Amino acid sequence: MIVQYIIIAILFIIAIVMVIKHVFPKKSTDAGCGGNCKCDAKLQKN
Amino acid sequence: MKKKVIALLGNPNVGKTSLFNRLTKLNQKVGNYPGVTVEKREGTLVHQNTKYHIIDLPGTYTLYPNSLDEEVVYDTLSDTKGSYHPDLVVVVAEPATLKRAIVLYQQVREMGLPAIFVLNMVDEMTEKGISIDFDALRRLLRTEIYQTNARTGKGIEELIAGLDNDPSLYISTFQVPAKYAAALVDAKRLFPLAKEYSTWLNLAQENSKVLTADQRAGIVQIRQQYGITPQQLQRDESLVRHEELDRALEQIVIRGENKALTTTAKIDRFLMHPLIGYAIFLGVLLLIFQAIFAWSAPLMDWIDNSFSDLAAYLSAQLPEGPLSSLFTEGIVTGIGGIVIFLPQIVILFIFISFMEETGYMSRVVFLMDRWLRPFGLNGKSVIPLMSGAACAIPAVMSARNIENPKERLLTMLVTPFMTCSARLPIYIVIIGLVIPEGTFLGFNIQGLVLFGLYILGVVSALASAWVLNIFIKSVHKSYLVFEIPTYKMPDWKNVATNVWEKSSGFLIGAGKIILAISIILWVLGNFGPNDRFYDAESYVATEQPSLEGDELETAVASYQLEHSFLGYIGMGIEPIVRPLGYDWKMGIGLISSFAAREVFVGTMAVVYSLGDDVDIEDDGERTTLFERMKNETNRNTGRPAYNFASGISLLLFYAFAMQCMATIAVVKKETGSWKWTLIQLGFMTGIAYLAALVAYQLLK
Repeated sequence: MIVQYIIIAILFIIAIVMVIKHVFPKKSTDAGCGGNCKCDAKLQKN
Repeated sequence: MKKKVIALLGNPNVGKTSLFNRLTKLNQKVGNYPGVTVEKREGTLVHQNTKYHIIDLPGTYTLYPNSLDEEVVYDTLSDTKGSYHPDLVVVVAEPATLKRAIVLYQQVREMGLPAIFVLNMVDEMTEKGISIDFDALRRLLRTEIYQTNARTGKGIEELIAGLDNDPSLYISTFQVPAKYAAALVDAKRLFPLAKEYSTWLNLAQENSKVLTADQRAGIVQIRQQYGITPQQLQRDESLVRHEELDRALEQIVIRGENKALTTTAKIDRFLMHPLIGYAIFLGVLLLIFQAIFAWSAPLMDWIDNSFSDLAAYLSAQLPEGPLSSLFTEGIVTGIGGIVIFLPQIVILFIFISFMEETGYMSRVVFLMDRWLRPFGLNGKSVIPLMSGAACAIPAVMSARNIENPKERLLTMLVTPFMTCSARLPIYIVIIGLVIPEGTFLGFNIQGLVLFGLYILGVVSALASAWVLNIFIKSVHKSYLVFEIPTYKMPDWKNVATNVWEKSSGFLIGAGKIILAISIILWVLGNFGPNDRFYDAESYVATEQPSLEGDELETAVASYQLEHSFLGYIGMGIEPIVRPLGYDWKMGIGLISSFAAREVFVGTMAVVYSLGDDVDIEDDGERTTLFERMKNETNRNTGRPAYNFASGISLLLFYAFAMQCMATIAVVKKETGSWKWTLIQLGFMTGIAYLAALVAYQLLK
């Protein structure tokens, strides 16, 4: 059970980071990414 | 493997993007040019041991930019050190506007760039009554000419084979008018290694980004010394080139009767009619919203049930514990709450793409121009406003096509009022809950309400523009100049690509944030700050000793949710949302949807799922999202949480509120001003709260 709680804690932290990144995008956004900076950065890299 | 950068250059509406799709197939992506929010389409093609990196430059009529799009074209071509500087430029033309494309071609060649010439849409030559002497044209342009039809794929193989060939040497034909000769000689001293035409371009450009500060200062000084302006140089170059080309093309291009134009004129007699044209446009809009409701219902039901089944399946398969609960009550429920709306979004984008592909959208720009002017907008504002029906983020960016700074700012400020696809899930679910089914004058009533909300979006955008227009002053005179294309059958591949790009972008963009928020909500709903959460059973048993069995279990689940972290947050904001007819659970939806509007429905799905005490593996007890929302009771009023008054209040709140952080970020970037961004945020939120308050208080 403790392992499950650890996994949930990790997922919770990742989720909070995802929301913060969505709300405060660092890079310019674009249409194909629906305003998501991470997606945009991935496209630039590709 | 050899690598080569190829840039596709051409006027708007010459089939450049269709050609790009043909060349790159699915190996393409959409991004931004560095430092600006101009959309960059690029892709790859591998042919005979060469990897071609193909860039679809924004459509432009000239190398003298009037908008951000056109600036990108000039900067890409002139910046020899830039990563997108092409090894070969493919100038794309169509038969009816050949002369304009040749001007662009000549400018590119005279800058020293190798270029080939593609005449696209060759199959339309007969219909347009045009015949071309290709040998003579080849001699004039001093390059290979490829005849293609990007829609059918005709000539594409030959073009791909030709990408590796070097065009023959080009000798400049442009004679600099004598009155500018002395100024040009002086300017050459600033660019000793540049070609003469590149120096001329630097003298004639208003704000070239590739010049150093010294060069820019030197150019300004020369202009002052000789009393010349960039506009004079641009105008005179254009006159010289067009006169020369008129003479040269006299024997090369023979024009007969243009049947395409005749057909277009016949159709336009109705579609551009001062009265019938608007009625047809309104009819088209009505058809779109009817279709969104009528066509998507069976698919939506199927998706809703499938996610419900998936949650049951996972619950049966996964070992019992909090992780299993996170998946079934949190993640699957939250994601299901957004995937369900995919059918409507696909239908919406099919219609928008169809209108763009056929050429009808350009007519809408023209039709709307005279009506938008009194509001301080421009016909071109229609594109951002219509795109706003999909998503405000690309819509705000598309306002960069508007040359006048004031009209651009106004368009960006009011575009978020348009009903974006993220509002659609909220509208559909609330309308489904509070508006009765049935028909009125043969129309689906729910479809009519949705249509009304879209109209409300348009009206509020226009009304806000009218108000802002009073306060924002402009020094520039504005006019609308653009080319209306002939009608065409849509290229279904382009429609499919566009629908795929936009729908998957929505699903991936929204899906990720909803996944994250679902996890956060589940954690906040499954843990509490004190023993009232963890010992809920004993508290309920003490407070309500008469309860037993299912009633007791439901009361415990509800008590736990109220005393979870999520419950305390919700209770904290309840006083603010109570006057609008919402309870604390809906308040949580409002807060979470500030990240993105569509999160509201997913949030409600998770919150109500947490509050339910349902055996998910039991078919009889399992409920869909709609049922859960329908059964919910507002604990303040004792009435259904989604009744007519609170439903209308919610619809109005979301119609006006700026509930999208990503749009706020884009508006800040595009306006370059926190002032306008905050004004927009305050303006929209204030109207939303007031409208929802008034609606609820009147209807309750």
